[in-house]
Amino acid sequence: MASGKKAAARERASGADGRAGRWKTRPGCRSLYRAFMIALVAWPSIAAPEMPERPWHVLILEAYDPWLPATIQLDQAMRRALHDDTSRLTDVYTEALDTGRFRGRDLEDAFLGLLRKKYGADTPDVILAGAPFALDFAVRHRTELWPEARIVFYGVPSGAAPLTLPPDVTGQYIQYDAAGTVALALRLSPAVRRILVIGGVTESDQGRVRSAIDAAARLSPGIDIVRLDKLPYSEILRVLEKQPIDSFAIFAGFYRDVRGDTFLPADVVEKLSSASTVPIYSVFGSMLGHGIVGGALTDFERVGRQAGELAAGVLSGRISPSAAPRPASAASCVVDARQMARWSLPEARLPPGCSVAFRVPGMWETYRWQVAGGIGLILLQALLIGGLLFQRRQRRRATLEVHQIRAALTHASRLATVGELTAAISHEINQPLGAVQSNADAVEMLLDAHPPRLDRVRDVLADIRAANLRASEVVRRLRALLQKHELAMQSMDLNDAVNAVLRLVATEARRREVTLDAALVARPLRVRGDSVQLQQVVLNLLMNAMEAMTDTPASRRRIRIRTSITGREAFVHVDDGGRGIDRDQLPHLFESFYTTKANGLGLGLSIARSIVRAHGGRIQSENNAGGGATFVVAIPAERGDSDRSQRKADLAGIQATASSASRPTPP
Amino acid sequence: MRATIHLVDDDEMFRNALQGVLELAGYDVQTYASAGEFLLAEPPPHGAGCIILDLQMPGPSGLDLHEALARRTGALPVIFLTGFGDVSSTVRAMKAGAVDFLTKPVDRVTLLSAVHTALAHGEEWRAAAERRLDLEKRFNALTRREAAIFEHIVAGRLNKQIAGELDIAERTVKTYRAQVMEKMGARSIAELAALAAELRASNSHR
Repeated sequence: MASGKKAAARERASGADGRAGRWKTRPGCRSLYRAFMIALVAWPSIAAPEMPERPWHVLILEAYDPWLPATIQLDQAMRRALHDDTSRLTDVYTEALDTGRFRGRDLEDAFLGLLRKKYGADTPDVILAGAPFALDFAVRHRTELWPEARIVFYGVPSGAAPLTLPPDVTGQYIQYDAAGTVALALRLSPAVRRILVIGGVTESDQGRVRSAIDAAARLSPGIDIVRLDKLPYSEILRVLEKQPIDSFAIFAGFYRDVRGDTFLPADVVEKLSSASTVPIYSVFGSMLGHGIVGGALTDFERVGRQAGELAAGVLSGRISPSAAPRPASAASCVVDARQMARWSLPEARLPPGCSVAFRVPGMWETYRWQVAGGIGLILLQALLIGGLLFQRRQRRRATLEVHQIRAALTHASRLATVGELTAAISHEINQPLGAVQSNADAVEMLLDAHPPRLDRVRDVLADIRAANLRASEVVRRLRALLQKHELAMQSMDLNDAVNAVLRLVATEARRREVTLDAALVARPLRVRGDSVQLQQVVLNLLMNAMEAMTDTPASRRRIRIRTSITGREAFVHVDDGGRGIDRDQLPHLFESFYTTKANGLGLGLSIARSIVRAHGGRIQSENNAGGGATFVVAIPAERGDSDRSQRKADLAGIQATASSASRPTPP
Repeated sequence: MRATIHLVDDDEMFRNALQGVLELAGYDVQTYASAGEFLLAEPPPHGAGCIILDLQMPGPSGLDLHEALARRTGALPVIFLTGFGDVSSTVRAMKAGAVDFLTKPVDRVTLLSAVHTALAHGEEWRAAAERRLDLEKRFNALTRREAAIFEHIVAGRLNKQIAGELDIAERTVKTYRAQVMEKMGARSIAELAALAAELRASNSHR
């Protein structure tokens, strides 16, 4: 027991290498692990025995000013191509001879010294020589400097290269398409009578001047060709300033003028272009944007890339260092849209495939998505607005329809209510008609008498007329109430409406043995309303009250109609002696089609309420303490008028008291 | 004797017009604006005449008035006038004994012929009423014994039976019988029986 405890403690003490303990117990496994580790360490030396690798060394030997636009384009393109095309790291250096402006053998020696001192034993793998002078320099000095370096040239016109090249020299010839440029210029300005050729006096300038003149003579035989190459810069400027417009100029390059002053061609072309009265074309892609219209332009970016690719091919062994030189890519037609516009040259005359640079992009090209989005948004908005307008029209139509239906219903209900009064109304009309009949009989009898009693005829005829008037009055009142009419709000006296209805229902009330008790306030109840519709309200209330008293003993069948006015509202109270309104009926009283009558439509009170509401008023009902119900209609009083008439009435009252006080009362 | 037409209508215009026609036709016309006014008229209407009554009037209607009048003796015949005669009120009026039922407006031919008929009815009624009055007077003139004998005779009893019943001599019955016949103005037993029936009818009417 005790020894077992000790063993456990030991094991715990050695804890960390518990696994190692297990390896110890298995020697076979351990040797396998060691072999694997050795193999892992040895691996890289087996797989890449030549590491570390020396980066490629490329020296760009530029004949011209390294800051010329063309030179910059070439340099950058070559570096990019080398970087992209080689698997190995590549160190690229640029040295510029700038022979366009600086010349001399002693300068060459000093430059050689500089190169020797600068690069020493670090031999370039490839010398990229730009322009004939640089190629010449490299070929001449390679043996003494870096005999193992291979030469790749670029920017050398095919005519300017030596006929035989030493070994390990390859490259590409640059092409300047003077003919293409002249052809384009002639195409754009067909009516031209004179071609100016601008150029400097360096070898390369002169070469291009010659090819431009050749092309012009070939493409437009007999045309007046004016050479502006053997002139000082200022003279050329002066000539261009006064050129008749029926000509154009070809810029063939300008590194040095006849006086020996050196120039940067891009600067020259900018100045000439801004002063010139005629368009200027050129062959250099690098001049585009510096004032030339365009031309068959050599794209230095492309030329540089091809040269870089060629150098990379030589470095990697894909291309033989002594391969025969090939021409660089051909020039392509490019024009400057701004210059085209400046000289009013139509783009339509451009040959197919000619690209237009510096075109101010239209709204659509620049902000395509924004514009599309905007237009979409506007369309959407228009659609929405249209939809809303449509909806509004629908709603307006529906509202109109509702109005019409309500008006029709109101009218129909009026007809129905008056229909209930048929017996009373026919009696009212029949009475005067009966009088007319009898009076007519009387007249006949008076005339038949012997002798005719003409004296009395006149009286009877007056009676006939009076009876007739009474009948037509009833008809007129009815017609006013029954006719279909547009709602016409106007200032009116609510008392008049009440009186009209009282006259209408008087007979009916008598028939039903109902006493009508009217107590109308003496002041006018000025409201703004539709007389017919307000009459309908009062009529419905009175009919309702009479209906409510059908089962009431005749002695208690009494309707009291009162009117009153406050500053704000005019009131009509109708209270009956019927059995009142059941508690559960009260909330539904003014609902449509709610009726407690066996043959009622249930529209009377509902229509009364809708009319009152249309007048901005209210209608209420309550049970009376002594039985029966009271309906109250309140219509907004016409403020100004009522106030004014009130004031007038008050004034009249004051005056009346004053006058009666000042004057002795008559006996 | 000129007949008097009593015109009850609440509508003054119509009332005046009708009054004109009736007066021109040669009648005396009394007008009343309501049934109540007619009932309270002093002296009460009497003599030859008729009543023209509007059915639609405030207060007690023409029909109510007519029903009240019909319970009186010597009632005047009634012509109803209405703007619109509904079936129930027409039936009620005719049952209550209306002579005619005219609708407004009414032409004079219809009106006057109705009035003429009504007056003829009135004449008949008046004659009948006078006759009944005379009969009652004669009956009242009978002594108690004569009246008792009269009852027995019209009941169809023989003299012998009556004598036994009243405990008098058969000859005495004969004497009373002759007196009754003479006082009542009847020439035969059959005539006497008819008079008795008339009397009974008038009594029951009362």
